[in-house]
Amino acid sequence: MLKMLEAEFKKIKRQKFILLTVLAACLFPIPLTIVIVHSKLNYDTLLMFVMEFGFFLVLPIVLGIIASILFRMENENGTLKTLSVIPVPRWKLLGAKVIIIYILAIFYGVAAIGATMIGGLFTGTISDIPLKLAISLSMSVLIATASLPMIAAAVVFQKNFILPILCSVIYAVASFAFSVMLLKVPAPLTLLFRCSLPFITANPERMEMVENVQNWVLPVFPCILSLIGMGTVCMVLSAYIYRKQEV
Amino acid sequence: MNCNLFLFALLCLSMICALFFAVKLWQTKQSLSVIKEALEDIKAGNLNRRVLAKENDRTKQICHDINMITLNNQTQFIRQQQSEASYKRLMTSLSHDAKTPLASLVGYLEAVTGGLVTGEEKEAYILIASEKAHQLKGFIESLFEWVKLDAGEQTYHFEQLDLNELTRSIIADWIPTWENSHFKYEIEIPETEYWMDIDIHAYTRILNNLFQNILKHSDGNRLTLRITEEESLAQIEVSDNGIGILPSSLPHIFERMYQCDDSRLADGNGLGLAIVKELVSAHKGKIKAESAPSAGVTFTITFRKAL
Amino acid sequence: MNDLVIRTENLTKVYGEQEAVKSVNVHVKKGRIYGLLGRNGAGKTTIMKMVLGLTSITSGEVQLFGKNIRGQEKRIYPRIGAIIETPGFYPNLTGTENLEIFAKLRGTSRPDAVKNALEVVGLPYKDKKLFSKYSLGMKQRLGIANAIMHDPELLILDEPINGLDPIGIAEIRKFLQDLSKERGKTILISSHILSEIDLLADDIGIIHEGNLLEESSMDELRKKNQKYVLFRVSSTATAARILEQKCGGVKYRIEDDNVMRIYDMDIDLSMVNQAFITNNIGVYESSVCDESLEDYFKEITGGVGIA
Repeated sequence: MLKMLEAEFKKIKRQKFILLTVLAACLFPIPLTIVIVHSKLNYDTLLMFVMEFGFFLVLPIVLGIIASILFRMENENGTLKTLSVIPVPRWKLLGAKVIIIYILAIFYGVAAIGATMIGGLFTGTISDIPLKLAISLSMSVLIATASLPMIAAAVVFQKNFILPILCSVIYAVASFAFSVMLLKVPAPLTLLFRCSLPFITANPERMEMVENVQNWVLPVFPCILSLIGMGTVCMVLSAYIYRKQEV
Repeated sequence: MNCNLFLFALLCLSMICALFFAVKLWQTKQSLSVIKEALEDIKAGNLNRRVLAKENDRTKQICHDINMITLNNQTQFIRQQQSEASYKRLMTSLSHDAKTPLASLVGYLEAVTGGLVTGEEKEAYILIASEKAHQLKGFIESLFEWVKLDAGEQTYHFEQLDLNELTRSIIADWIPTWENSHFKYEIEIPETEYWMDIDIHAYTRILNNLFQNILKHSDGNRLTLRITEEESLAQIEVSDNGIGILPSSLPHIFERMYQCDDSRLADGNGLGLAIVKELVSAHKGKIKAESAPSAGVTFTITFRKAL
Repeated sequence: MNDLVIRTENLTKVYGEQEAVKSVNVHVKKGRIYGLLGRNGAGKTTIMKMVLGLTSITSGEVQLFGKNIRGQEKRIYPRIGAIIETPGFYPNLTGTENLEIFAKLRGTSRPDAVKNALEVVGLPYKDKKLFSKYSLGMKQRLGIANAIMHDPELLILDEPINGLDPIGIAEIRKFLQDLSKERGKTILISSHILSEIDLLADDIGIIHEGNLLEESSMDELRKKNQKYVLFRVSSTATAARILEQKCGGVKYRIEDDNVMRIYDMDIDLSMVNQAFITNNIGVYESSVCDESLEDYFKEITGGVGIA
């Protein structure tokens, strides 16, 4: 499996989009910092913005696009044939790609929060570094888990480029919209939003006061468990579909 | 409480270790079973079988060594097989080569003994039959010579001779033949003396075979012989202006029974150049041929002055 | 020992309503080059894909090295090298990087496998050029390098000469022949070009609209198709004499006391026949064999021909 991972990392060498996103993840907080310095918001609010928009909107879309690149790369160039006769079992290939996506997700998450903290240094109000980092780390892992349905879409539509990307954009935007509108739709990303709101909000006092937000928030552990459950189902399904796909 | 936690952590750690080693053990067992299977196959004679090893397999070195040994064995085995096959080919073509002139010889003689022809025609038949018999005799002689050479039974008598003088005397015998077959010839031999160890019969045979080859197969009308001599090396260059040899055939012309004409029906026995090569190497010399289609052939023999 | 490396039994593939491959029985013998000949879309690639387990089999069975491949992939694939359709590589990597990935995943048979494979096909090692910038010929070469990198026993090559220039084709042909003749590798190759199969293959299978029309050795086909006149006469010795007298310099070969072949196709056969009869030679049979392979294929495919 380690070999598979190593090979998977070699494969994405010179992939422009992935390099771009890595760069973007590092630069992402700069515009935000500027916005916040201009509108005189504090550091916690900045962090909340990064969490809400960056983690719940941008990250799933980026992960979806990367997933579709990873799977289409094998399909489009016929390397899946070459790999099949080595033989590389499909579930291993899928596993390696999922791990790559997790690693990238963690990297983006930590980079984004880290960069925001640097931004925080400018505004001068920085606190709770280890806690914030821990939250960002677990958030990126959970976001990646909630994005597993998009990987399934990338597997199913691997012959197509637009379709899986469209799926992930719709999925992320719709989930985000549900969250903002406080709807009780059981989409993984919305569920995650509902249970993680208390951790990422900048002003917990206000949240406690508003009743419908209070009702809307969910307990953490059941949420995470159902997320993992959904993710596992997605993975088993994609592994099955991937194995059945002919080259 | 703290102690319990510590014990629990220790237990977890040892479990993880055990699992890790179990996995490693299982992997090693797997690769050993692959090696075993491959070795059985190799033992059964499949020298093409290879054992693949991944980068951090502990059996990598063993696998690569097995592969190397098998590959070397295979190379040797193949070489042996090739020489056996070419021997078999030699035998078949020899019997064919003897059969065709013999059949036609018998045909002419039967016509004579059966009284089908009389007078002048009869004489002509006998003459043809005798020609055929001589052809066959020549063939069998060179065959015999070649077999002797090949088996290493030929003995040589090397003596100090003047290469230039010896070459001139051989050429003198050939000049009438060339003139009869309208060959122009150009001979360049230094006027000096060049003494070296030569077996006179072998050397004569080398030149005779080369000249015969040109006469029979080149289809040209000009022949050049040039000798150049240095301190320790002498070079003899024999070339013609005939049809040349195809590049694909060139590497094979010194092999026994190789004839460029694939149907092997041309006059000749495919032994001449093989004999030349054997004799040249008996002199510790080297021979090479250069050619381009329709630009003639150049044979270059290099001898050392001292054996 | 089982001498069949690939054996298929009533292999059938149905795409929707259409039968792409109909009950095909292919027998690839060890150490030989098997050419699958057929027009584009005849079902060659589908057969190869089924043999390699890249596509599902509708009905029938495939045996590789005498085993069914299902469940044995890990043991059987390392013994095979394959290119199906276009060679599949990562366009954003160089040739060397590509091969290194596959070598890592597959395992190697020798320490310098990647370098050696690239050398064999004539591509530079550690070159900076990306695969996406490769020409078709270079891509094809890299595909072959990947197929031979682990020194497999069986090569399955789907149209390996597509996109190569004539010199490249000749090189690859020579290379494949050496692999088969000298190293005893088994090769299954497909092509839509008759002359290529003719030059390369030992055995041939002709696929037409999903059916295997004929499977035989090339030698047998060639024997059927060599151009010569076969005479069955009462005495070949007499016949040889007559032949030499009537048409001097004719190429012929005596098989035995009764059978001879004449290889000159432009001689006047009626004259030869006449001459034999007037000389009291019984002519039992004379047959002209000059059907070309192309004619033959046209005949068996029902007039449309192969390429």
